[in-house]
Amino acid sequence: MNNSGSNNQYATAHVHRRNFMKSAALATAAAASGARGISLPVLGANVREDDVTWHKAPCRFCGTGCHVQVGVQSGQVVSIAGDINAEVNKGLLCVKGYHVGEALYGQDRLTRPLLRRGDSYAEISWDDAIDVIVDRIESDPQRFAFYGSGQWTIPEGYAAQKFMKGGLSNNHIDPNARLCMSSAVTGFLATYGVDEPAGCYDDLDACDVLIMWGNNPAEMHPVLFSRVVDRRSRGESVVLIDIGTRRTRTTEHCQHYLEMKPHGDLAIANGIARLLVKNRTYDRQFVESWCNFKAPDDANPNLHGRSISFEDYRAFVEPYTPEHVEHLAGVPAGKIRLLADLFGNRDLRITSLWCMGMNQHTRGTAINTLVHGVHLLSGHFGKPGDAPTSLTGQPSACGTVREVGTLAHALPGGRLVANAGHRQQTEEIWNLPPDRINAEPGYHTVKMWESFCTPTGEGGDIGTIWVQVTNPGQTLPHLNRLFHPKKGLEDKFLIVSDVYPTATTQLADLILPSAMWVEKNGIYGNSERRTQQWFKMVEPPGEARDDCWQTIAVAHRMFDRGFKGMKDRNGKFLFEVTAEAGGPVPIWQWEHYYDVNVDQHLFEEYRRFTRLKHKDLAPYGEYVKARGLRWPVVQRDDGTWQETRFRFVEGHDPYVESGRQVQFYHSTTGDDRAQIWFHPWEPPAESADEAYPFLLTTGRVLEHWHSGSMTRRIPELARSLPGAWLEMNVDDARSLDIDNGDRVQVESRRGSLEIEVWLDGRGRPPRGTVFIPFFDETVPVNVLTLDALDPFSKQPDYKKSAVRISRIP
Amino acid sequence: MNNRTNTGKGKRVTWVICLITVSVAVTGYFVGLQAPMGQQANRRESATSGPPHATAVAPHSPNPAVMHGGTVISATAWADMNETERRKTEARGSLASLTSRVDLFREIAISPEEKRMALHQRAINRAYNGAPPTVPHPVDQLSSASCTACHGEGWLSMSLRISKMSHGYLANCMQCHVENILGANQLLVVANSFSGLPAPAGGPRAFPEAPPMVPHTTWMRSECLSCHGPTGLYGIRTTHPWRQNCLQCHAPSVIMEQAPLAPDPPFLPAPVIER
Repeated sequence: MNNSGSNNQYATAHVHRRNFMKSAALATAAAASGARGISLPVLGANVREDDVTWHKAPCRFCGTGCHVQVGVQSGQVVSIAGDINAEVNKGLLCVKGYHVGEALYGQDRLTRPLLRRGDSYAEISWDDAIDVIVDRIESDPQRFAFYGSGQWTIPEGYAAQKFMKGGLSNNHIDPNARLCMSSAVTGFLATYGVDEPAGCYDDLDACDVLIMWGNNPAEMHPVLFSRVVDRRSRGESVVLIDIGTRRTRTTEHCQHYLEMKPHGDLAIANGIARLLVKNRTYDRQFVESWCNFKAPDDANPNLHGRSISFEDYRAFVEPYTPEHVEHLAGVPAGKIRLLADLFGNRDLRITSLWCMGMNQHTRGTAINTLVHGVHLLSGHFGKPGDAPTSLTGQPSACGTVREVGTLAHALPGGRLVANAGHRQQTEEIWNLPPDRINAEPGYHTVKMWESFCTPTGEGGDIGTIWVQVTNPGQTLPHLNRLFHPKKGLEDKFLIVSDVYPTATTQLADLILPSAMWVEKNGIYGNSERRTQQWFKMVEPPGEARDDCWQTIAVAHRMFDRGFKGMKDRNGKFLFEVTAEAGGPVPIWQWEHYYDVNVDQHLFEEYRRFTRLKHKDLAPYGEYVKARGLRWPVVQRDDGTWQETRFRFVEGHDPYVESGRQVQFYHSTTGDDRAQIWFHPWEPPAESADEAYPFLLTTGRVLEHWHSGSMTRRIPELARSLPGAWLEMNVDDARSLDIDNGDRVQVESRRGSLEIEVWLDGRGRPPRGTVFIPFFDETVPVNVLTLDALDPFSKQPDYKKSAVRISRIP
Repeated sequence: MNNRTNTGKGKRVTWVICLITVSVAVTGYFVGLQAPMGQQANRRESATSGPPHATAVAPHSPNPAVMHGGTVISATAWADMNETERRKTEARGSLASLTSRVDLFREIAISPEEKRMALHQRAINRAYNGAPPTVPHPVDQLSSASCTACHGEGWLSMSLRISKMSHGYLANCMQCHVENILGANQLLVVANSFSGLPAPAGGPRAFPEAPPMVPHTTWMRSECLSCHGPTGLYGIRTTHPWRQNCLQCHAPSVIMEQAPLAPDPPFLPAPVIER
């Protein structure tokens, strides 16, 4: 890497604690060993074994994208500090971030490839493991599927994407992010014609009102939540409004708590829109200059819908009077008027946040577009503090899934497999022969696992799935339909790359040990369009290896065996990396994988895809210097690279033409306007009834992340919350003679489990609602959940499953 | 007749009243035994309000005051009342003992062993030096106000030492500090071999009488007296808590502070000396 022109604040400066002690003794103000600039792989430099060196990395857990400083000593991570120079977190972390380093050192790390032999496993070599995979793929390439996640780094996801769509002409690649934010994607696409939030975290510093729609950031995005509530400690006033289905830690900080019935959000958004129109408090200038109106086209449901007039729109929202909304949503009419008054006030800055509450919703696309619509209708858009912003739960759900497009229907950079022009552009960049890429979208997550769990003779046309960096055996909905039936299907083959044994490896036929986080190079993309890079700092344990290497090694084995798809137009290997001296570097051999920076090579190739949707990325070296940059990152005349805080707004977004003020330059109507949608209220897919009188909602907790495979191995987090519990209303508990600590059986139409009850604990649901977190692999709540999908995004609803509960005597 | 009837009714009424009184007393006796006071929620509330798993593993978490070396006068149980001699509570302290006993001018002389013990105790609820400490007592799961009630200023009495927050007010305490009611040495299902960076034994000094430099970051540790003041552990206390401006003499490190400054002091070019 080139050091010149570096203004980095010691992104990778080597800081030697021992040296500090020595020079400190000379009473100098500073002490550190030299390297001021940037160095490639950090291991093996002139570092004494017992020195502590510090390097930047984004946190491994949620989508906030905090930066940490990682302290490494003798090849081990020994310390973590909040990165003071990171704009996202400004030195603060949450309890998971402070303990992220321990995630590497659970003593049951997977360290050897394991092949199933009956009920046990045999340790095999990597060479043999790759042969096993290649045999499975080559036996029927079109029945192979790749299942990844928003924890794939950008290069890992990009390699998997190219391997599948470019190498196998197979589009059966989908990520767990389908289960987590695909309704946010369809919401952005339907509204703006292009994905991802226009605002950024800076809005949290400027907003006067923060509305959280089914969101509990005090636990799920705590650093962002602190960014808001700590403003109060500095004497600023912020109005916090929680629209939710149970009281949480977030509620305790809010001035207003709007407890709604499930799907009440649809009615609330329409109720606000109606009052804005009726009271003429909507932003007429904004709407007339930059918005159109849309309604769903029931005959031909798609993200374009049908255009309607403002008068049509007024008629559609007219029935949603505050009293009618109170009836549908259970929120007092006065609170609807309060929200409408806030949105109607042009002097306030209003930010909306949401995550799983609106996304894991059978009307997820609808509610996403409605919340965008309320912001557009009232003009609360595009000024600092005025933004509808969706959050993500994984560190690279945006960077890898949404931008690289590791989805069954997508190609890199916002392209679609169904679009001939997009396929052609992709084949051009990948140097593939024409028509290599299959025009038919592959299977989305639920369809993929449904096919895998259906016997081959009955149409189950997925035969092999390779899972990387995720745990579907715990996190898919309706596990008894979408995962557990695999056990009886002998001809189906499950390959799992992971770092620890999980619910998924329980049914795996081949288990591959992976490197994680700072055991490899990586790049993530967080919730605010920020692309973040880090270097490998420690060696993975045993024979654990990078997921990206695993994909490339399999591709090269196929290339060696003469599989045509792994060759480009010129007969060269798809992932060929040329050394400076000329000739290919054998990166498919593990001992040569770090001879070059493979991440950098893949990233520079991927970068060529990012211009189409104006999501421009800077060269790799710029990210080495920065604590992440928010795209579009555009080069200025003086050669420097400039990030973008607010999209579609003149003065911030370099792609907005001069004098336009606001320009939605990817508008689906081709007129630079955003779409304000109407969608009707509709009931949930499942409601409580006499047989199943409670509605179960699921989610995360502060201490544990996703399926808990990492955080449950961190002593401080595991001791704080060792396992899952059932949360219910005290009056409901009393009526069922259930007490704190009692074990109960919880049954849905799809499965049952036993669990302990914790009353008045972390959260407090209203009567009729119960909650179980999903982090505990011994209490798999997803045997209970529903697999009903949003029709557009194909995202399931984990939040509303009818259950019955009985005390176990 | 009338008299007899009335007497009969009167007797029955008396019996019924007695029966009710006795059963209420018996019920009250057992209910009183089972339900400790001051707990929220339902009838058979357990002694700690943590999640049920934690309760199951550690039904008797030690009193935090005892854990910190304080003494506690335990109340007499209802069941023991009859056997207990009634007398004035032993005068181990006056009401004055309920106020914080911070004495800025008490002489502090710390032995190396006391320092070692303090660092050891400090490490018990921290994953590494610089990690946010876990909370060694049950916490209110929803509210931060209850944290600052005690930890806002810190407290020192005969029975209790409550450390003062080491940083300025941050509104969401449990974002970083989680409950750890099992104690640090409880076995986990899966062992973890992470070995955290230990706390430095002291800051470097230029010469024996020089003020030591700060060997850790001051980020999140801006309140020096949190650890080094009278409510901190004895072994790492300052000898001069009355002085207010710590960094006047004890210099922090530009590296530890992650300051955007050059790690090596820059100088102008040296004079060129012709020979």
